[in-house]
Amino acid sequence: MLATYMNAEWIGSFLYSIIRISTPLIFASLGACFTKKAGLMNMALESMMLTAALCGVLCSGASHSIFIGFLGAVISAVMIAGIISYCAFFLKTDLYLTSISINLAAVGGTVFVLFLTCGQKSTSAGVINSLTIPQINIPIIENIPVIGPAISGHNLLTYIAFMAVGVVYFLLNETKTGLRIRSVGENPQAAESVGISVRKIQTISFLISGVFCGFAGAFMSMGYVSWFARDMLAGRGFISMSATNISDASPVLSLLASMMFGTSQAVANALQIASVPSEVVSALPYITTIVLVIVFALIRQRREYTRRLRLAASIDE
Amino acid sequence: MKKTRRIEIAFELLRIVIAIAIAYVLAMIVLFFISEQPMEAIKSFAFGPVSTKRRFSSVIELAIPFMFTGAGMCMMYSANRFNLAGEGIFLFSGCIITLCSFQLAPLGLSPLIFPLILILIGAIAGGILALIPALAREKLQVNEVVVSIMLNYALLYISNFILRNFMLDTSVTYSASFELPESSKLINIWQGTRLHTGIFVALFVVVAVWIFLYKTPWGYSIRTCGLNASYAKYVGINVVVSCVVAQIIGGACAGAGGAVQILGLYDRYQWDSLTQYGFDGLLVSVLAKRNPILVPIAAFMLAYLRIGADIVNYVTDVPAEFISVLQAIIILLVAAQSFLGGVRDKVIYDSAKKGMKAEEKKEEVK
Repeated sequence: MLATYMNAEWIGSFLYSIIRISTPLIFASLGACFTKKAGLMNMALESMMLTAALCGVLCSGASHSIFIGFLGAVISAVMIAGIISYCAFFLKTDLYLTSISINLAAVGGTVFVLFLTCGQKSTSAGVINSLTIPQINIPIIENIPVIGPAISGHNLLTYIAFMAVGVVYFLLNETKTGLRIRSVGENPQAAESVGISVRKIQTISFLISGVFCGFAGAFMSMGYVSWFARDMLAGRGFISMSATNISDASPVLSLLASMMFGTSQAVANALQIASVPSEVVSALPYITTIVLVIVFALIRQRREYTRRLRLAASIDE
Repeated sequence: MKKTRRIEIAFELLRIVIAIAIAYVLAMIVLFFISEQPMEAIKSFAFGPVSTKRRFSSVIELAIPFMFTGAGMCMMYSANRFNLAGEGIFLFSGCIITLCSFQLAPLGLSPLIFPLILILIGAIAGGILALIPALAREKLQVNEVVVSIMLNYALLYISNFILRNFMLDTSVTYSASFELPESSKLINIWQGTRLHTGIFVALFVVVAVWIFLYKTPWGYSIRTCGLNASYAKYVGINVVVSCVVAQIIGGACAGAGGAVQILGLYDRYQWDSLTQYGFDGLLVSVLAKRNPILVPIAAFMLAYLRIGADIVNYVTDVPAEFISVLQAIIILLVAAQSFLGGVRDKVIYDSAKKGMKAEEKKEEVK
C-alpha cells in the first residue's frame, strides 16, 4: 500500500499541502510573537482570524475587488484587537477572560452576520460571490520535479507568510518599537521607569498581531477555500499560539513549529484517503498538538534544570 | 472597614444589574433595526420565556447544565485557572455514560440508584480528563487554555468515534445511539414539561462546591492560590496540589452535568458537535463572581437570555446568535474594574470621611 504513495508526484503534492495548511498558522503565530514578546498571551487569535475570514468574504463579495476584501479582513482583525486591548489595558478586565469572551462572541457574531447577509447559518458558499487571492507560479522552479509542485503555485499570501518571518525578525530586533515591546515584556516596571507607556506598547503589540491575524483570516476564506463557513478555524488560533509558545516567540522557530503542526494536519488528511476512520483522523492534529506541547515543555524543563545545576556547580567552584 | 466591604459588594451587584440592563437595551436596539417586526421581537425577547408554562420550564431545564458547568468553572476560576476542558468533558461524559448504561442495564438496578451510579461515572471521567490540562499546567507550565481547548476537539472526535463504532443504532434515520434503558433515566417532576430530577442533583452539586470552596481549609487554600499565588506559596500552601484539586473537581462537575443532561432530556445519545455548555459555565461563574452559591441565579439569568433569544429566532426573522455578542458585553462590563470604579471609590471615600467626622464629634462630646 505504501508503494502507491511513495512516488514523486505524491510527495510533491504532500509537501504542497503541508505548506498550504501551515500558512494561516504561520501568520497567526508570527502575530502572537509580538504579544508574547510584550509579555502577554494572545488568546484571541482565533476570534481575530474568524472575523477577518468573514469580512474578507463580505468585502470582496460586495466590492468585487480582491484588494478591498483583503483590506476589510485586516481592518476587522485589527478592530477586534483594538477592542480587546481597550478592555484589558484601559478598562482593566482580565486579559484571559476578555480574550475568551471575545472568542465566544466571534463564533456567534460571525454566524449572526452570516445569517443577515446570506440567509443561512452554515456557509457563504454559493450565496456570496467572493473572490480569492490569486495563486502564483514561480517560473523556472515550477518545472523541477518534486520541488516544483511543492513550492510553486501557492497562494500569494503563502509567499508573503514566509517573507513575513524576516519582517517580524526585523521589526522585533532592529526597530525602536520592537525594542520597546521586548523591554515591556522583560520588565514592565523598568520600562515604565524610563518613560515607556506600558499599556501603549501592549496595545501596539496587540494591534500588530491583529494585522497578522487579518492576513491569516484572509487566507482562510480567500485562498484556502473560497467561502466562509461557521467555526471554520476549528482551533487553529490556539494551535498557532502553541507554536509561538513552543518557540519562545522567535519568528524563525515559530515558522518551524507552525510547519510542524501543519505537517500533522497534512498527515491526517493523507490518512483519511487511506481509509482510516475519519473521527480518528480529525482528532489527530489536536492530540498531536497536546503531545508536542507537553514534550517541548518537558525538554525545556530538563534544559532549565541542567542549566541551574551547572550554575550551582560554577558558584561552588 | 466593614462598611467599605459592604459598599464594594453593593457596587459589584449594581455592576451586574447595570451590565445586564445595558445588554438588554442594546439587544432591543439591535432587534429594532434588523427585525421586520421589531415590536414582536422585542416583546418575545423580554417576556417570551415567562409567557407559557412550557417556555418557563425550558428556562429551568437550560439552567441545569449551566449550574453544573458554572459550579465547576467557579472552582477553576477561584484558583485562577481557565481550564476550559469542561466543554469536551460535558460531551464525552454524556457519551461514556450512555455506553456504560448498556453495560449495566442487565444488572437490573433500581431506577433510584442507576442514574446516580451513571452520574458518578460521568463525574469520575470528568475529573480524570481535567487532570490532563491541570498537570500540564502545574507541572510543566504549559498554558492550560491551549491544552484544554485542544482536548475539547479531541474529545469531540473520540466521542463521535465511540458513537459510530460501539453503539450506533442503524434503525433510526439520524446518527444516534440505541435507546437508553428506561431505569437509567431521571424522572420527570413537572407534568407537561421536561423538567427532571436533575435539578436536585444540580443544586446539591452547587451547594457541595460552595461548602468545599468557602467553608473548608482546602477551599481556602484554593482561593488563596487564585488571589495571590506567591503569597499562597509563602505561607506554606501547596499551590500545585490545590490548583490540581480545584481543576479535578471542576472537571467532575462538568462530567456530572453531561450525564444529567443525557439522562434527563434525551432518549438516545446524539450529540455530534460541542454543546457549548462548558463555555457557558465560564460566563455563569463570571456572573456569579466565582461564588458557587450565586451560580443558580446566574444560571437562571443566562438561561432566560438564551431562551428569549431562541423564542425570537422562532417567532421572528432574527437568528438567536445575536445573544453571543451581548453575552460578551455583559462579561466585559462585569469584569471591568474601571466600570463604575470611580463612583465606587468616591462613595467609599465619602463614607470614610463621614465616619471620621462622626468619631471626631464623639470625642468632642467626651
